[in-house]
Amino acid sequence: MSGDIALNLKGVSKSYGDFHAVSDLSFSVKRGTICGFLGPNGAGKTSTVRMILGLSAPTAGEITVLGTQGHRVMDRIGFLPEERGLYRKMTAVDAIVFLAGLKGVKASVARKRALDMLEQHGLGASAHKQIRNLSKGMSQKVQLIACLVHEPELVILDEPFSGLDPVNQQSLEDVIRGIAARGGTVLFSTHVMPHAERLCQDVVMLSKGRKVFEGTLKQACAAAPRRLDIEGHLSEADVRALPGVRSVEDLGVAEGEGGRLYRCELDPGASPHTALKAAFVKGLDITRFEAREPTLHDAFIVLTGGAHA
Amino acid sequence: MRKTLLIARREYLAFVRTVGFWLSLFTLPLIFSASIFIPMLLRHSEPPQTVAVLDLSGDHLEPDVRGFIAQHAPRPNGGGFMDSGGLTAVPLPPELSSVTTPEAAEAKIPAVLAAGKVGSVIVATDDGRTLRFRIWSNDGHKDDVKDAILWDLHGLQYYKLAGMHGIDHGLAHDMRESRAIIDTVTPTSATAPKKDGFAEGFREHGPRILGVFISYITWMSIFSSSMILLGSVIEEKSSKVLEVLLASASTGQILVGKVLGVACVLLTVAAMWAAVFFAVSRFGFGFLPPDKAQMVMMGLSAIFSPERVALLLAYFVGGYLMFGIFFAAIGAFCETQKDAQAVMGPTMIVLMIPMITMQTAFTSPDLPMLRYMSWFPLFTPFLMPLRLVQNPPWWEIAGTLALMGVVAVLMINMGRRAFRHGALTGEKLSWGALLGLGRRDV
Repeated sequence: MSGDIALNLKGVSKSYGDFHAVSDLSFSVKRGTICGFLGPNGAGKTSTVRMILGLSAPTAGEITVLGTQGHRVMDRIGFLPEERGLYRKMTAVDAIVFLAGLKGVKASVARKRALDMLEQHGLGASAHKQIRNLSKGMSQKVQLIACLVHEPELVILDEPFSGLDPVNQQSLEDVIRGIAARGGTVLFSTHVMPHAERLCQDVVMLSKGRKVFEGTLKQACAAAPRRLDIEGHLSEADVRALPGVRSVEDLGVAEGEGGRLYRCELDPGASPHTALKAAFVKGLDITRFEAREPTLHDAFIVLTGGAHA
Repeated sequence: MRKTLLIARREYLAFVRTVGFWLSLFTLPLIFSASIFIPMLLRHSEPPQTVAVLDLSGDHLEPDVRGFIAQHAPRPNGGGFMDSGGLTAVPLPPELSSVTTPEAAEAKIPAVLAAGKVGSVIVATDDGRTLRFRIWSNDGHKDDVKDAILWDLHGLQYYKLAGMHGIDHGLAHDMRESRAIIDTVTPTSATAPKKDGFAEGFREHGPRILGVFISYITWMSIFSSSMILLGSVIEEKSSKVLEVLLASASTGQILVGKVLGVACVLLTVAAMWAAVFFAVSRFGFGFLPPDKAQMVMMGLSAIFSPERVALLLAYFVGGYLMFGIFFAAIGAFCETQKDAQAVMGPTMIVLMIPMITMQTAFTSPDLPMLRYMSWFPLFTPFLMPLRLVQNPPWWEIAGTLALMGVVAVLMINMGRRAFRHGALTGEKLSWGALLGLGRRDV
């Protein structure tokens, strides 16, 4: 069973003096999966990532990476830090070969792979340009290639989408899916939920240094209440009286002839279908009835206690 | 080890591939060589100075004075490389040949000099008791003639006074030439071949001069390499490369790699400078008599014995590690050179103390204070090479090496932790950050 686990944290804490950056954190990531490591700014994501990488030691707890405990396995990990940077005077291909060398890849192999990957990512013509002469997006791609060129078993990406334009964000999403497709494991931290929602099978959520959720994406979304948008010529009291409705927000006069628009939050487990049936029975004048499935963003807000996403 | 070497290689290539490196590499030897040879060439290319003598003394001094000038005539075949153009006695210009009074001479000489008819004019007068020589020269050459024949002219006054007192000229000559025998002796100079002033001087002063030279070179090397390390780490910190490196290699591998890379840069510089020094020395030796050149070579061989070279290297390595890793740790906290100022100021003062001490040691190498200061580990790498050529007792060598080694290990350990802390946090540089946080890991 442990062979299926790429990463396992057990009771991990990290303190800086009186400040507890991470408290009693436990979670695991299965091999070949993409796991979102989510949390608002200052939740302890970067501190955790640094402990996983062995850059800093946990104050308490155990970390097992790729089946190894207490030993550094950095050569089998690919890491893209939040603050990206490369040697500005090195060429793109030299920078990749140098970093691959540090991961134990022979120079000749690294060079061939680097050139191939640069070509795949549309940077073939820039392979021999100095990093300082590349655009920000291009240099970020170079750094991503440097993170992947040694074909790591575990890839840790710290806020990988920050600073990328929509086209490159899509391209990066494809790269991340590709890593998982070839059997690699991806742990990526972000506070931008749509990316996690599109990519992850599993998510771990952190808030104020503590884990607030660990499970599948579906389970995470289920943690947030379902919502209904009801539009029509009816009062707030009518809406509030519908079965399963926990709270109602009056969003004002609807556009066109729709009357007023109400946004409702349902009780956990409550069905929109039941509410709709009750509305018909009561003969309410409803022009629009829309059930909104909870998103990861909704779950994030709920689970992290409304911290800013 | 592979990662360390990769980092060292990158560090090395990052420097030697820049145009600035090669420019600075050759600039210093060029300036050094130019500062020696250009003045020599200028002096050598100077034409002989023409000197006329206007004898108004009535003592027939002109033949004697012309004789003195002739002793400084230009040497055949260009003379030695260090020789100036020399002096040439010439007849009086026509404008001055009919002059009979000093006042008339004074009135005409400036025009004669300005017309370039003669370089200098010596006007000799006698008030009956004292001879007077007014030496006129063009601007820029005021003392050339005086410096050459000063004591000869004083001699004329000596003989005049002896004659006035009825002393025989031959006796006066013997009295003037007579000297007491005064020897200055040290244990080193006493073993020098007799009547060989050059050899004696070399044995006496050579080691001291070389000691100071080696100390300066050590200081310059450690200072410049530490600054290179500081700049390199600041660049990596500001370009956010450090965290990527730390995710691929240990702090020790990064630090040792960087230190090794910069050491290779230093070796390249040293090799280039040694080649220039060797070429310049060979050129210089060409102007020394073969026996003296051989003696200098033997003296250098004695000073740079294998044991002494090993000790010099040990002190250099200790100093390089202490300061290099400390500067690298400083760099890990800084994104610009300006950020480093808070700690660099006091550090520079510490570095300047041995530099100032070296200047005193040049004239007084045996000061007790110098000995005590050389035991302070931060000064040891700079002051012990200075003392090493004076053959200090073995226990002082062992003691200073041991102390320096202990402090180097402590500084490496502290620097390693401070480096990691600085690299992974946004903490600003301060002594507290370096010393306090350096004691624990991030």
